[in-house]
Amino acid sequence: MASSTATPSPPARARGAAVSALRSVATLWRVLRANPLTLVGFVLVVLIGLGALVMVVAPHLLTSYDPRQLTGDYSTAPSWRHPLGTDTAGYDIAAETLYALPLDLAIAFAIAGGAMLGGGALGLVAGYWDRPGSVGGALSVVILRITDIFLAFPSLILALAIAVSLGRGVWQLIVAILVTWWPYYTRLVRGETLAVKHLPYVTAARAAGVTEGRIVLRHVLRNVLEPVVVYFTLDIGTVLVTLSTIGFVGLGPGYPQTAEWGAMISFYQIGGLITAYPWTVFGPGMAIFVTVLAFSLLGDGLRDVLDPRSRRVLAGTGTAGATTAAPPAPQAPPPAEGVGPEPGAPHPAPGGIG
Amino acid sequence: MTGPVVSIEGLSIDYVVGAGRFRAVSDVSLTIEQGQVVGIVGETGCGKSTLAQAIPRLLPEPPATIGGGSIEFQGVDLVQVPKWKMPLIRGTGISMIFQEPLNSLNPAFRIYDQIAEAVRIRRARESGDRVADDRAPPPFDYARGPAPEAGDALLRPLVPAGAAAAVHRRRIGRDERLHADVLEYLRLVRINDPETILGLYPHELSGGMRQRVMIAMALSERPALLIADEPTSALDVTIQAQVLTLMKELIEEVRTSILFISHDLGVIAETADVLGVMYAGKLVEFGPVGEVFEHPRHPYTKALLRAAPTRYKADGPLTSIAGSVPNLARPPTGCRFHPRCPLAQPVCSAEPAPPLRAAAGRADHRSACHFADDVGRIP
Amino acid sequence: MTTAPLVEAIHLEKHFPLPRTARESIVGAPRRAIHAVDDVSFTILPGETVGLIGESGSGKTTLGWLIARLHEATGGSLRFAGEDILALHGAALRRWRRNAQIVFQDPVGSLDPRLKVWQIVGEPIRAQGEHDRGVVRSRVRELLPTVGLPPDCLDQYPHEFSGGGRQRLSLARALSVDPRLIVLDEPTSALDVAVQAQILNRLVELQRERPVAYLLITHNVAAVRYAADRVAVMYLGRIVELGGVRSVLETPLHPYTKALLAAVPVADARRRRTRFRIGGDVPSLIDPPPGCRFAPRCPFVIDRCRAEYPPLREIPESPGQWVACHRAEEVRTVRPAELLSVGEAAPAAAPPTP
Repeated sequence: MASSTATPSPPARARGAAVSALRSVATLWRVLRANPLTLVGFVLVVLIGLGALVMVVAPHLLTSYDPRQLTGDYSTAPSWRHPLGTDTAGYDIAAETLYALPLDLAIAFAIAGGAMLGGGALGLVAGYWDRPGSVGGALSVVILRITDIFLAFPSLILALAIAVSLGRGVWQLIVAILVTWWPYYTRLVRGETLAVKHLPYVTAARAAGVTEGRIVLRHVLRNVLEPVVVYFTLDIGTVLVTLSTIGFVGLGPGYPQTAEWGAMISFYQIGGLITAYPWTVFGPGMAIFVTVLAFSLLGDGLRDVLDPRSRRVLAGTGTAGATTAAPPAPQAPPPAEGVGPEPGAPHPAPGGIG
Repeated sequence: MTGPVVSIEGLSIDYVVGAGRFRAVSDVSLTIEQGQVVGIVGETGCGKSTLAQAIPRLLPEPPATIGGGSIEFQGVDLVQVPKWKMPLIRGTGISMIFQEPLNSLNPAFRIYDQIAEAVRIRRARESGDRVADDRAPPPFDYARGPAPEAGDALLRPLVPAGAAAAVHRRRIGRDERLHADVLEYLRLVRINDPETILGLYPHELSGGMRQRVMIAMALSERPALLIADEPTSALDVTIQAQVLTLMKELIEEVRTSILFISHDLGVIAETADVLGVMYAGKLVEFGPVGEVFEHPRHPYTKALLRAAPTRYKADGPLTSIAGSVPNLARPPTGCRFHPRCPLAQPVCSAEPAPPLRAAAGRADHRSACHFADDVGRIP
Repeated sequence: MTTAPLVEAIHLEKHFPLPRTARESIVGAPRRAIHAVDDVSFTILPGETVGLIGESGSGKTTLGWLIARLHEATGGSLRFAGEDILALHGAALRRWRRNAQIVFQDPVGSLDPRLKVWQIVGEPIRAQGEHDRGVVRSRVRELLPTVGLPPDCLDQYPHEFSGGGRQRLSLARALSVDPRLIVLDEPTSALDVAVQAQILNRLVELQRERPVAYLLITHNVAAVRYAADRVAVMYLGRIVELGGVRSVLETPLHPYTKALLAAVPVADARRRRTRFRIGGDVPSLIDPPPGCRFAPRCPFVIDRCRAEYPPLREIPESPGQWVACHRAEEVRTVRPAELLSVGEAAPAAAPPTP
């Protein structure tokens, strides 16, 4: 009856892989199309990413000016030669905005990425190895209390204080914000880990003889990753606003030494220059706005893209869940009908009593 | 009032999902008489919970919509009543209790506050009906006077205002009377020493106690109809026995009609007077519970009875029902049960199942099957 | 003829320690614990099905997990095929795990939603050393029809299956390493009546085809009657009655068993009987008092019951049936309301008061 029980040959495998890759791209497209705002966010993010790449590799495709090129026109309003005008230092604003794009993105990803990795690792430890009375338990308590302490500070003010003490510069900016940013990831990952840790499939894996390390990687991390990635994407926007704010206040890298959006805005409003030359802040301001919007839109819709259940429903390939016992997606209708008796125990000890 | 408490005619409920809609409840008609316990039994997805929640219009109305039919409650068609007016009927006219009391009781409030809230609401509504009376309060008596009819209830203001409200405020300011009433309602559900649980939170009580508190809250407004949606499914067997006995005793005392939804045939056999069987959104059989159990007139009912756990025999495989519940978005043509039916004939897939028809000589036992008389011959 | 038992539990105990409140630590009060399982001794023979019935708080789930070595016992000993498995740890324990698998109650939480069917069902195979994808896939493909699933659903996700389908997947996963014991923790409670029957039928058939023993934990008395050879009744962490399924269910000796059986609603409309009801609620598992744990609710209680815990013993009038009750001989003849067979006479008079 069954024909291909043996391992298929390499060319067949490669073909199979290509087919499934194409199928998943098609599914992705259908899912994105289902929610137009997510599609807008996705397209914008892709454009922004491509733009950053181009600016690093071949900037002349997008702008005719080299970085730090003095144009000789000072404070001219937008015109054909200078689409966003020039500033008091003599630079073309559009060019500088574009040159700042890869830098700002890199800083934002560095901060959010570092917080996700570092804070996330701490959160995983605090969530998974938290049995009271063990080494992991003590470590969890320590991690959680430190997290609480950091969360008690208003993050922006703490970041400002650290930035002041460290001085101006890109690395100083990254460190300052990173130090205040990691606790949010710790909390998030810990919460998700706790939720997953007690699910029966984790216990089933243990009963099958899977080692603890592999359980963490294969079951816990994979299921925790999804909400974390969604949060991360939304977080890029928040980080960007924060770092721009710090730049705006006058810390972090300085303009015109470094092209960075927040620094640019800060420079343009010194001494009331903004009333004289109002077009200057438009460039970096719009850049921040569009970038934050793009990542926020994408982040919102990312949940639907990543979850295999809603992916299928939105792409229209699966059943509409009328008979499954799965927790209903937002569209799924009838209220759960008597799933069955579940005698509740008064004290939910691990594993459940009775 | 004479006549049935609830009379449902041709009720259909649709869910709008994305671009399409599907019919969760299809053309259901049944009546609930005064003092009667009507049981509705069926598997997951048959629409019984949807039906139960539709009667007091508790379903979120997008995505659910009433696709047709009427729900006559004490002469008022609830389908026509605007949704914002429904709170006047709920509680006083129709009360509901649910499966998982931990979810239905607010975990942030103590038991006293939860029951007191129900009593206060009722008093607030009644304050518009009667003249202010500051003299000695009447003693607690559950059976003192009937609740107003649905038609009159709908004429009340949603929020009592003016002089009536002032009287109401003064009345409920007397906490001792409220306190005494709350204690009496708890005693009504056979909780001894109710003072001990007044200060507790729901999670500090056991499942059986929580369910009794819910019943107390539901009955405190003297409803004409109590809808019980799987009230004992989440309880242990011995606690379930206690709660069911309690409910049967209360039916005698307070003479409320009950619509009892369950997937457990044993529970229905114990509690209901009349039984309705639902399958894939349709009511396939309806009749007195003894009759339906002894002489089922629909193949699905017969199959359910045979598969019931208490019929398990020690030898031979258990009887289950072949196939699976259909997807309501794409129901089978004709009779919805025909793909799984041992009596299926070509007419069953070609034409829709007949409407509920009575057996010869028994007008109160109806079923929706072309071959209702042959069901007795299925082994 | 006596066969060597597959599982021997001797005075098995599991206490969950409760964290101390600050006041208790200062005062130096002794540590309190939840006595989930206390002094449980019984055996499972190879290839037989032992039913374990009880309500919430009875400890039946904890006992099942103890036997599958998913909890660490806090007392007693546990032998599997003669070997002391409480002494196993680490890699040796993981290797042993192929002998005992578990199926859980929750069809949704039992399967990792991000993995495909072949990965889920094949996980124990992989954990026990078989890393070749092709071999795992073909083993899974052979296994699926034995639980009633089509063999070509290897690449589907769990949410595409109904509740019954998911439990079959859990069962396939448990069978994948040919265990000698499967602990079934309420496998059908969350399913519809008709699906329950299908799953139970399949379980019984599988036992005819292969040498596997079941520990069937459930509160569904009828399922035990159908599928089990012997049954143990648990109350508050202890076994109160143990014996052949026919004898225990038709002539229960322990008052709790009588009450439990009498409380099961029967799908027969002629029986509007008054039942042998027990009042009160299940008391707490924290530091239970000495003496019989059923004493507060037992209609036959005498002073001796409160002072002295009744040992599990065989009474001469009912050989093969073990009961933990001081008054077993006297209450033996008191019949609860009708049990599971239709057509018996009305219930006996109220039980004798002490």
